[in-house]
Amino acid sequence: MEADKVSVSEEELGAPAPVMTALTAAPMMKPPHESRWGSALIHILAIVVVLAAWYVITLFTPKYIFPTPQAVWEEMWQILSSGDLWPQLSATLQRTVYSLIGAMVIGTALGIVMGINNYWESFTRNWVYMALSMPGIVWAMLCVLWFGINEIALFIAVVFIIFPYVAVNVFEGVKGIDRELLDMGRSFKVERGAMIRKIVLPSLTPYLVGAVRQNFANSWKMVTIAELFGASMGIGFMIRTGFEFFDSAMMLAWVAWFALVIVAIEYAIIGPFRKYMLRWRPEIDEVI
Amino acid sequence: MPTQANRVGHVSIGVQPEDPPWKRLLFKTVLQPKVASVLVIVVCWLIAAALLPQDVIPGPLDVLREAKHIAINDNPLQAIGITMLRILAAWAVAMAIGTPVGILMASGRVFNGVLRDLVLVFMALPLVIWALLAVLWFGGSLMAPIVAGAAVAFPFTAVNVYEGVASVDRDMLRMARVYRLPKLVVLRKIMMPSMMPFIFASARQAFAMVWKTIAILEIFGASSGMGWEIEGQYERSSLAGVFVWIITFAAVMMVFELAVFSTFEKHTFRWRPKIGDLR
Repeated sequence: MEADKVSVSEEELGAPAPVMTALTAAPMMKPPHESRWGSALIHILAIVVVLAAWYVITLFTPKYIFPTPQAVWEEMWQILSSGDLWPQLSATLQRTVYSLIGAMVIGTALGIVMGINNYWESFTRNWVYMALSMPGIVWAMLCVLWFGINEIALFIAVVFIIFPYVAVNVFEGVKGIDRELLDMGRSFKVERGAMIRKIVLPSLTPYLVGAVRQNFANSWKMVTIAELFGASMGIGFMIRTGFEFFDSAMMLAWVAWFALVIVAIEYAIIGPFRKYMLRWRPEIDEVI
Repeated sequence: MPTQANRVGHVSIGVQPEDPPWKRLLFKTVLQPKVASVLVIVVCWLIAAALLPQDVIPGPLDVLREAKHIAINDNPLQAIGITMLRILAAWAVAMAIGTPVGILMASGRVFNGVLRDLVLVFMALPLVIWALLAVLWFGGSLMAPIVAGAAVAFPFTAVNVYEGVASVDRDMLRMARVYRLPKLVVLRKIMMPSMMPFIFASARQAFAMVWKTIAILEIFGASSGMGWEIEGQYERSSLAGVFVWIITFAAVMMVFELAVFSTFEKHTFRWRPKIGDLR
């Protein structure tokens, strides 16, 4: 057992760190005891500090280059009131969800294969890590060259960028499966299909949910990158438009809207989804 | 393979002692998983290149010819050098900002609250926006990649460093206080050893984030570097050229990873036991 632990960390030396998102990073940095009023005050302080710093910087830079907080706020309000927000938002969100589903399916399959079979593990390992280290924009460019500017190009590009992250996540999960359960299954001669359904998949649930949680934020960022080239709708396209008009207020306003929506979805949908999927498992702070 | 112990199914492909020698030879050479994976990819590439027209999938020979052309006519070393300069500068600044932010976050409730919000906001923004804004703000100067790369990467550094500080053994620190160890000794002998793995993780992650940012920045707003070369080939719809530069980019990054990070890591963690020692 001891040797196993060391070997895993040794192996991970070459592995990339898991994707961190605002949602997964937040609990890491939270101090254990925090009163509600104190933390609300600190959050307000944070907002004030950031806005003040931003405002001070705008005093020393030309407006058309560095927009003031008010300019971005007005732009955000204008995007909302002109009804422009929803079509662009739904375009990007649809792409995000479809590509995430595609990447989850491919990544889970690959992760399980890598996890249960040593041959395929060393067969795919280097390629998966190489795929992880490719900048997403490169895939987007290649897919646009191959398939033209359309939804299929975007879908394939983002699936290709995201699925290695999912595969690594699931792979770790398969490695973490309780060996005793498997040995028991094997000595009772459970067939492979039933082993996967009854033992492998249930123990993978936390990792799969983790993969969804991490890669939802990741895939909307990748969709944004792909949209810079390959779309005429969506957040990436709007950022590109703002870039071409030298309109940094417009770029920031669109990004702010989308970041708000994504964080809202993370907290309102994905957080509860995770709680629901893992409801059988006590939280760490309940146990200790 | 240390993973042998964790195997799930009995499905691995391998050679049995009773197999004929030709089969054993086959398994020892081309069916070695790493060799086989390269062969499979190359064969797929050859088939795709044979079936599809050359401007859709260029064959390996086309790519080699293009590489020779680029090596002679353009100046690839210059492009590589400029991109590496940008990446290293941005990475150094990201580490220089992220490390103190992470330490400050770990050192007080108010700092933690304020900086945590800041870090989370920066993390929630896609890296595209920083690449493009930095181009608008600074044009082609070295400031653009530094600002974009640092803005994207410093939150990851900060979170990792925070984790590192939080992982320092409190009892050790208390003991150091009881024995009145000088601050510098505490830092070198207690803090640093337990923070090192986190600092390495943060350096690696920051490096990866920075190079992805710089790639976008060069594609959209630079007139030199590997990203700009990729963009030039893309505009000409020369897939062979795009392939050459993508492969160059990936190769340079991998070499850097292996040569710099792995070497440093091995050196720093040389006190750790190897797997073989424990078996």
